[in-house]
Amino acid sequence: MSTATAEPTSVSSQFLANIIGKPVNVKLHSGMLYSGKLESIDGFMNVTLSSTTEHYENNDNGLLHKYTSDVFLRGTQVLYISEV
Amino acid sequence: MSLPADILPLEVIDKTIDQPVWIILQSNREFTGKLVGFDDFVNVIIEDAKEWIVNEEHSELVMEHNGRMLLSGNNIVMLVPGGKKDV
Repeated sequence: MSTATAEPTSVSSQFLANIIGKPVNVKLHSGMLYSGKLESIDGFMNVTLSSTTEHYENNDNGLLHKYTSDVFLRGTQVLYISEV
Repeated sequence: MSLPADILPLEVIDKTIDQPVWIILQSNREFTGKLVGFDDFVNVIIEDAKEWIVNEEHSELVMEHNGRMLLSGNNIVMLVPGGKKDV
């Protein structure tokens, strides 16, 4: 399948099928970085993470927050989702 | 007006797949890495990405990513096939 002619969600779904359940970094436009286990995602890049930690820009920067419950991140605010 | 579309813009990106790419956002953030794929929104998947914040004088490496990254096309301004030569 050519990636160029793929429908909008297919690049993401092909990628995301592989990384669900794995640890990821998600950065928002604000620069906030969320690291956790990817529980689910949709075509809007809405994301839910578990065991999430919050840092600014880089995991080496100080831990800002630790979320014990699942976290939902709104797709419009997501800059990227990256495997760790 | 008819367009004699010898090469469509997205074909240029398509030819960049499996090659280094340099991606510039609306903000002062840039990414370099190997282009894996993209979609019609120009959401992009890059491999082993380096994330930069660019100031007038220098580029600051924010993070090195191992593996694949799905980068939202929402804020992408420019893709440069071949990558960023001066780093």
